[in-house]
Amino acid sequence: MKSHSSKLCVYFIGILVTVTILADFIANDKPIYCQVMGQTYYPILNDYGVALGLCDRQHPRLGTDWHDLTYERSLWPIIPFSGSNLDLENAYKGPFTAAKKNDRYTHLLGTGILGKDVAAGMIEGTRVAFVVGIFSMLLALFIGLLVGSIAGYFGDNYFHLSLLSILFTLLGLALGSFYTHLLYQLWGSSDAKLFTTFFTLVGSIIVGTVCCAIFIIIGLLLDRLFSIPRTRAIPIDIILMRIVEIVNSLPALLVLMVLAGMFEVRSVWIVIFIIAFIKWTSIAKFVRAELLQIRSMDYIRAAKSSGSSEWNILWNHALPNALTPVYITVAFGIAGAILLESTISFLGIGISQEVMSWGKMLAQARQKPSAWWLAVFPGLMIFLCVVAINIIGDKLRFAYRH
Amino acid sequence: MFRYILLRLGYFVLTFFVVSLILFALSRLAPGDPVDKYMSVDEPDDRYESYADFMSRRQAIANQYHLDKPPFYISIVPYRLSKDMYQLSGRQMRKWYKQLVYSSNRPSVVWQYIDNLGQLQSYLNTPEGAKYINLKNELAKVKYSSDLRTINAFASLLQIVDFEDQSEITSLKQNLLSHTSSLFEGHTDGLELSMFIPKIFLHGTNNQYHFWIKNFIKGNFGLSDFDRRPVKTRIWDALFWTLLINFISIFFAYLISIPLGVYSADKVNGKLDRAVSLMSMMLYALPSFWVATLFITFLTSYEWLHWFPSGGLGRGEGQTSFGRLLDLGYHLVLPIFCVTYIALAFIIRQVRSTLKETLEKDFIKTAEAKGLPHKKVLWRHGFRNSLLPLITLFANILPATIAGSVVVEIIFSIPGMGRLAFDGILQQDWNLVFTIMMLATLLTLLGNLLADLLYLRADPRISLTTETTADA
Repeated sequence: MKSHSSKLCVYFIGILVTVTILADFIANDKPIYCQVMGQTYYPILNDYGVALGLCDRQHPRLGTDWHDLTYERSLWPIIPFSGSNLDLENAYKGPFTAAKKNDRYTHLLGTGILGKDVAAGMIEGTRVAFVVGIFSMLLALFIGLLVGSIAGYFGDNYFHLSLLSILFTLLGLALGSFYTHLLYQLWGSSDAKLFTTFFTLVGSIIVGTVCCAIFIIIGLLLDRLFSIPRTRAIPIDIILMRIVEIVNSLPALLVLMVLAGMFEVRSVWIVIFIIAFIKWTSIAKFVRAELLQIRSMDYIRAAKSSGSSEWNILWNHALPNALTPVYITVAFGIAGAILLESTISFLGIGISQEVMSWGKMLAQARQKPSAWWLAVFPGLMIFLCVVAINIIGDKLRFAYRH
Repeated sequence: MFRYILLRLGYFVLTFFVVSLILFALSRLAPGDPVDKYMSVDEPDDRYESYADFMSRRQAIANQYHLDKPPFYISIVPYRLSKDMYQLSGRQMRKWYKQLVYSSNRPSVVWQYIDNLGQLQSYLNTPEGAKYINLKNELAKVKYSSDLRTINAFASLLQIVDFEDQSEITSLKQNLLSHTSSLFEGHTDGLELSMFIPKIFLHGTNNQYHFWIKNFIKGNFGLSDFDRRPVKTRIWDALFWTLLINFISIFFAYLISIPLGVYSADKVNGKLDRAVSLMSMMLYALPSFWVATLFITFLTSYEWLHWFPSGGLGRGEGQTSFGRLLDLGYHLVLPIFCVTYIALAFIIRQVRSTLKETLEKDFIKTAEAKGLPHKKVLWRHGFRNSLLPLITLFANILPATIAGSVVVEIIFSIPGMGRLAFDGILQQDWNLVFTIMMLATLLTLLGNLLADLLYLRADPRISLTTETTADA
């Protein structure tokens, strides 16, 4: 790969990330700044304020579309529509042909079903794709690092516990799952709102985990108190790698489809969590393989002989050196996550109905074959985005190896 | 070696067991109440003569699908719950019972309260009971509710309703009133401590999971929740198409990728190699649903080029069997193309890297040194010795392409496994969906097992910890 192509890819991805952050100012159905009847408004900033609860909604005539107002002065986003904006008179119009009421509001890349603007949908889709890609891989990175580093560093022979601690750990696991289940039932209500369902789940899992951790700590403290020798080697590598194999053997796309279909509420965050659950295994495997090598290196032995504790060595010496190749896996993972998200959006499962995404726009093309712009632009974006990320990943891998 | 095989098989069984546990748990979390679904809930009580009749029908259905049993061999429950709960059929009923037990002070009354409410409901559904329309509405609210205020509102309404001279129903009313008042007697808002004390129940083999996994292993997958056809026949029909498409596609993919992979491995970083690696990366990034959509848009519609049919398998009516086959092939061109390029992107890299590894070995140098023609070295010595890894690769490819063909099947409306799973999800046909998940996982696990055993055949030194020792 020539270096300028990878540089191009970095620029391209940089632009897309910027678009992700600034999406509201690039495509929106309201002006950035405007003056109506002598009064000045900042509608987009105002939206942020309302969402954060800082101020009230400001609007010259509540209930009217911003497009219908007459302005003394105004500064509009480049694309004066948002992804879910309807323009019923202009459904399925080609690029540059359709305009809403006057020439000021043109659908640059045409419209889709119910007159939804394609260009605005692309911007919104960029945001969805990158939010899903980045956040799901961050979560996967967290899980993968934890599991992979423990499995790789301790292996099968270097993690010792006393019998007492093992018993306490098992007890903690049982009680932790019991309280997770119980609290989920107690807090859970029948109305399926995202907030309640999701936070009940996360909250009860946290409480269960804390409960489990308390038991493990008690076990370890008791060990220390009565100076019980830690004699039993835990084959932690085998155990964790079995878990990895189990998750790997589940068919990823089907799992994503089924889990996302099972939730009665739809949200990007549910998709992110499911993708993270599918993707952490490859990171864990990578970290493990790296740490297996690092474990036998001289500087680890030096740290050991100078009396550092096992965990200290793992976090401060071994893991930082294993990170570079992990970032490469994460880069490829982001591309994979974007592909997965657009696939299930294409199938109409997963993220909520109001949010536009690349996959959803492609799905519209199936209903109307003559609307070629719906088939070409969103797909091209997915393709370019994935290719760019993969080229960057390849480049990083090449640089790391040589 | 024998020990290795035994251990590997042990791992296989263990992994399958855990996977089945996960999928079972998920299948129980799926929305919708199976018993209600089977009884077609919308007009539940009207069709049955009496409450006892209705309940016995429910119980029979629950029993038939083993839903009146505890979920697992062992369960940890709050100290308050009794084993009675497991007789309640249907998830919503159980949930309601639990919520009532948790929020009330008198767990012992809950059972009678639920039973009496059911009796009252069936009375209100009879012609004589139909006039108490207010009470009926209020009852609909109080059913499945554990909210104190709702229950009190219901009780106060029940208090003023006069059932005239029907002694049976009046006594039911009195019972119900006493239950409702005692349910929340001395109720405080705080939670009882006894709720947080766990209790362990052992259920033995008489539980849902046991029957579920037993039936699965026997190959008895039950009926589809949606159209009541046996899941087995539905899957069997679909499997044919999926396997057909995948085998043809993988065959083509091997056919194309072997020469390309071999020649690009021969001259690493040569022109061909660069082109091939660029192509494989592009193909890898090309989403199959986009390619399929482009085909649908530009090659199957009348607006552009109508070269191919847009989906289905073709009916082939009134044609000879050869004509039907031809028509089928015509319909399958685009789907097979899509699946082929997915497999191609996957295989071509593997072929190249495997060949590259083999070509660096000493015996290749020996062969070159003794003056054999280069082509002969490449194919006879190089390719032959990397055949086994390429064949075992098949075990990994099959699950991958089947996953890839899910989207292709959906787009081209081919009645394969992917389409079946997708429809199952949309129709909330969880029995079908989770059977497919189990089968797909089993296939992957078997593929891994087969690949490992084949590797063992190739290299008897291999052991379960080879990875560990080789890396360290």
